[in-house]
Amino acid sequence: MNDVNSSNVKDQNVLSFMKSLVQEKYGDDSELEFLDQEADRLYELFGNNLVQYFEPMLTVEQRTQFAELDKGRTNREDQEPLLAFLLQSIPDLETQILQVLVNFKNQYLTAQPNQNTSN
Amino acid sequence: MSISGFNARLINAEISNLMRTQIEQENSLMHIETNLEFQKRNKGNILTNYNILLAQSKEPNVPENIKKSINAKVSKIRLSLVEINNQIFSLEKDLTDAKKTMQEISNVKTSRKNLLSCLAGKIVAKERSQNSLQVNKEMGRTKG
Repeated sequence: MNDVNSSNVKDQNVLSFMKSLVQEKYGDDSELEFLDQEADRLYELFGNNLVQYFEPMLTVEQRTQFAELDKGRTNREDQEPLLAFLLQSIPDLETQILQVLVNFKNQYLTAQPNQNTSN
Repeated sequence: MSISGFNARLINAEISNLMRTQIEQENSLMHIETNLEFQKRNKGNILTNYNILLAQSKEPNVPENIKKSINAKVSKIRLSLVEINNQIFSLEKDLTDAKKTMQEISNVKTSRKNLLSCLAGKIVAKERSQNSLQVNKEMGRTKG
């Protein structure tokens, strides 16, 4: 399955954060095409890291509840009930996401240009 | 923000069930595909033998006793063909199921990824607004 080319709408705040990371690493005069491609790559990588990090924090019961909540959504765009569920189920979720973000940024900025940032 | 000890925690984080299931499904899919390819090749070989024997059995100058033996072999091969066709059918069904499961896992993963990214986006926006507030405060202080 291809996770890297998921055609879903990207969160613009995260995407712009990734673009700023690329600019910080490669300079403001990076080519636009490279900037976009690299930011897209980082966006997918970061998303995978988030899933990989947070999934074990849900109990089997919570995962089932979460899946049911997800299935039951009539409006696919409305993510609020799922977000509320996650925030309730995982203690300090926001702080932890921030930590994953900081860690991701540090790893990317310190890695050699030909190294992939992955956890 | 202090991230001391966080790297180790992240690296040691148990690979999630979702990821593990995905890896297992990928391995299973590969195994089924290899097996299916093998069975199809096997069927091809059996069919070739079957056709050769069938042609021999129809030769007018082949003695009757040899024809009998050839026909017995042909019957055996027919049974093998039925069996291998069943196996191929079953493997093709397994392959369809495995692909469906892979798709489901991918959908769940994408959904979770989008959700967490959305939350991360809100946090990024909040951090940015707090930072710019701080900068504004400092600028105000400098002017003052």
